[in-house]
Amino acid sequence: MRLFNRIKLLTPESVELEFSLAGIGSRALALSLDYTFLLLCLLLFWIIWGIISNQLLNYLESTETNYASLPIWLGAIAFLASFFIFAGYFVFFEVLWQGQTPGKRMAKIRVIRDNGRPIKMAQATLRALLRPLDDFFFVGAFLIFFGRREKRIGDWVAGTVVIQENRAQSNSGIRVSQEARQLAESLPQVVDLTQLLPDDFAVIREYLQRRDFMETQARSELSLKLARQTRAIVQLAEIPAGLTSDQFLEAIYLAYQEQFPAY
Amino acid sequence: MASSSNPQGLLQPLSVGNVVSVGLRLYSSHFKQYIGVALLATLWIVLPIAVIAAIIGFFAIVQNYYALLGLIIPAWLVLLVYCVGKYMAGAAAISRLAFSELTQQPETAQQARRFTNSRLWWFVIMSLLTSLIFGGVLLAFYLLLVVLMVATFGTVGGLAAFQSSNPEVLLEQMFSNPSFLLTFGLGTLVVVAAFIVLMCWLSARFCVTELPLAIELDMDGVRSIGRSWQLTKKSAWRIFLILFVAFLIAFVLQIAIQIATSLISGVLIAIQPSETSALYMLSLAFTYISSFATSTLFLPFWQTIKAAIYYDLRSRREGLGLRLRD
Repeated sequence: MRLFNRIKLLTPESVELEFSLAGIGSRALALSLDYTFLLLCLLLFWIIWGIISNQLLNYLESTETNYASLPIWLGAIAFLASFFIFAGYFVFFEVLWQGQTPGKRMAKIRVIRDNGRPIKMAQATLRALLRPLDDFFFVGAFLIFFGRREKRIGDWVAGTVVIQENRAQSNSGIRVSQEARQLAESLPQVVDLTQLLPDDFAVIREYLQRRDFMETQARSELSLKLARQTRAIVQLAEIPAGLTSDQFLEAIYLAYQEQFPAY
Repeated sequence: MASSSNPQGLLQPLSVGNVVSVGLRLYSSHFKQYIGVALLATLWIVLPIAVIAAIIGFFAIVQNYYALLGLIIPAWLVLLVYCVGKYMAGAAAISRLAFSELTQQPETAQQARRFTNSRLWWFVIMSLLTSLIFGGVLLAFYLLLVVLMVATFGTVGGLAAFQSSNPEVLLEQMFSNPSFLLTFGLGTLVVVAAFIVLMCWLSARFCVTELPLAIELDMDGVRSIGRSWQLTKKSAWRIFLILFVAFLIAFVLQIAIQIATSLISGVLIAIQPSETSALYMLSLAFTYISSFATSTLFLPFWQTIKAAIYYDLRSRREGLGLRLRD
């Protein structure tokens, strides 16, 4: 069973790309975040506009000119500006950040075109203008929920899909102790690191990245288990004395990375 | 085995939105199985209601044998507790099924139900304990509130009103004092906000209490609470955000259902508005049935999302799924 809908996109260069679709949860999260920011923007705008209007009317009062029609105009301009802020928020960010708004960025999703390219002004505008239609009785939510490609009306018209942003595999955030560094230098001579598959390496790296958040006991059990398995895979007789399982894993990680920098 | 290049392997923890999506995906792909378990569970809740209705009906008609009530009421209470336990075991079985799917060791509905049913009384005890904890926190908060109120009242000289011969004048003076009103208003606002934050935090920390009991071997109701407390540590606000997003989606679905059902019962009433007509009874029955159906429908919704939360917590806090090739 697949946990996320996936789509294959064909680029104009006939390259096939595969993506995981964003999913209803991430889209609901992104939308609620964006609407919160938007509400704050609109609130700020109305407060500033109110102050400006008030000052203007006070000034006109003092000059004793006839300004009876002005309040209506001020109100009309404010409504028009609100609409532009509403649509402009999404268009501005989606064009500037290549398909992301602040909410989408936090939810780690992105809008792209059906051919896998970044969206342009035209697509962003269509999506933004059709948004009220999608919000009406939550039509868009149902289309995303039940559709195989998770497209709301705006997505159909603009020819876009919303996908998950893949987390780049980085080696950041891994502390390697001094003892592990020393062991890593001598490791390639005594063990066969080629026995370790890229998938194994990925698991070790993932552990080293996430270990700080883990519960102490569960962490030490997992560390010991991974170290034992790794030792068996690289055919090392025994973990060097005086080294913790964490340090051994760090050393393996470092040595493997130096031998195969591509991973 | 799980591979880093394959997001389906779930090597990495899930994002907030993805926890909700995964829960819903599990629900929609196992709709028949989960709804079957949910239906059985919800029927157990209907049983004590039906029994009490029958009892009331019996005494209304016979108007005698009231002494029997001394026997019937305790018996009914036992039945109620048992049925609630059955309901909770059924609900937990859905979470167990969803979790077994996530760890790629799927079970049948029967297996899951058998497992959770064997711990039925622990589910009851556990829910009693969590209610007690919530009640205790509420009581503590309430007491704190009273102390704060009295303190504020005292500092502005309100206590003098009790000794004065003319307390109304003093109180009136106090309540017309703008700085008192401001402090009082702001204070109330702060207290209400603190209360909401506390409740949100607490419900996030307690949202997966029954999951260890439903899933793990060698577990009881008391330890299950402790374990879920351990797992949710450092993740309360993430969980709260997950629950919030799930709530939003549930809200949208609920509205759609609400519109559909009120349309139907509205039509039924509009056809024949007289209170004694069969159609009126039909629309009444329809309302009950639809509320029963709605709660059946939403039970797997929350249970699968809880299973996804639990899975994600175990993956974050214990590295579940991080294993080298077997």
